[in-house]
Amino acid sequence: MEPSTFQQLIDTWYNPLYRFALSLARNGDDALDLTQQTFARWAEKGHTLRDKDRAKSWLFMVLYREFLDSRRLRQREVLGEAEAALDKHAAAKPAAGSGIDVASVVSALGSLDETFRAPVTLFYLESHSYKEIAEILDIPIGTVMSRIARGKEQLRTKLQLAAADSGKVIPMRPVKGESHG
Amino acid sequence: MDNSKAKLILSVYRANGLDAQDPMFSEALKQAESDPELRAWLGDQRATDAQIAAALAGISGPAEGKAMIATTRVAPRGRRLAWAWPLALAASVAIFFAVRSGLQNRGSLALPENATLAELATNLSEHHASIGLMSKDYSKLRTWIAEKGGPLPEHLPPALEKMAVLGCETWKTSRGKVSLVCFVGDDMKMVHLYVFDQTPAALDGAKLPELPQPRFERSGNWALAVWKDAGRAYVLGMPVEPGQPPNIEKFFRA
Repeated sequence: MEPSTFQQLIDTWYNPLYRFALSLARNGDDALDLTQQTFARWAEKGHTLRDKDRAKSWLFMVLYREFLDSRRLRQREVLGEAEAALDKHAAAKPAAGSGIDVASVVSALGSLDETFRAPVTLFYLESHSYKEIAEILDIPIGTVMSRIARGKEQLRTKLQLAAADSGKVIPMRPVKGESHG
Repeated sequence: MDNSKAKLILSVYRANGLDAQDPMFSEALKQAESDPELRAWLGDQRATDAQIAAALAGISGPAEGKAMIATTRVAPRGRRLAWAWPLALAASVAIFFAVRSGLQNRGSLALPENATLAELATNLSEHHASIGLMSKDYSKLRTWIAEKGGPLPEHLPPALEKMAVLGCETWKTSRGKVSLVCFVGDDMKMVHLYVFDQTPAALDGAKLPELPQPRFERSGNWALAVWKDAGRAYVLGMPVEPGQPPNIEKFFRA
């Protein structure tokens, strides 16, 4: 592989992969490990990919599998570390013109049911179509659609609750059948 | 199409418009134009999706992690691929550590029968090396090595205790199991600690010293320190840059 190709992949996908890893692992150290490990796998096996246009999906697929593999090894409890991870590792900034801040989103994503966390995060990275998300997670397209739809509802609810706790107001319509009075 | 189905489809419609040409969304989007309730729902979805996506885009990975990856390179070596590690990022001196992966899954690795410990370590580094797991978490590396059945380091030279780790590997070889842990110092120079599972006597005819007074050797472009501890043999290897003194002794000073 040409070094320039490798560098282009890093420049394009390092941050999106890190964001995906952070939502999965819920702490910055593990997210960085996953991201680095993913590029190491590319350095090792990327040449076997015939269609280089699929490099994006390949990288996210590998990161997801590395996460599933590494989960067995994790010995420490990481719940609630997402905000600390931001302080330590992520150069986070408030989203411009938004009522939703980065820490709230990372925290809410991290608290989603695991079934929803990966597809919803990939959806919000905005780099992947629903078809690509299905390929990355190795699940049917219909399942992706339903998990994203349900996961987004769960995420919105969590963000609303977090905003209510902190006294912020986030203009969102109440989810059908729920009261947010 | 009823509105429930339309909402399910439109839930995966990205706010940045990249899906605008996908025919799967056409009917649902058309329906949203004519149905006030669906239109309001979609408008709200898009606004919130855009906010969440923008917030997520505000996260950047640590710059040093990117720099570390960026300095890896791939270089073909026969049928296998090798990728290199930086040994001197800060000084912009590229000394490459060639690696090959997956050996631990391909049966026993043949090493020279009569090679000394130092020669075995340099042989692994220069011809058969690989990184199985990259991590800055030493406990994670130890867990990974243990799961692979590789020998774990017991006591470390004093200076290594203060250094960061980068990754590890373990192999089954014709000379027993061997593990590697890569350390990196503040100067971004890397050193490689090899742990051999065989008894020191079986690996090296000469009597090995114990910590903290290892035997210092030189093999090609490598400065090495060799010792035994708790029934295992250790080799610490450090590439020597031209014109620079090896100074591997510093790792054994408290």
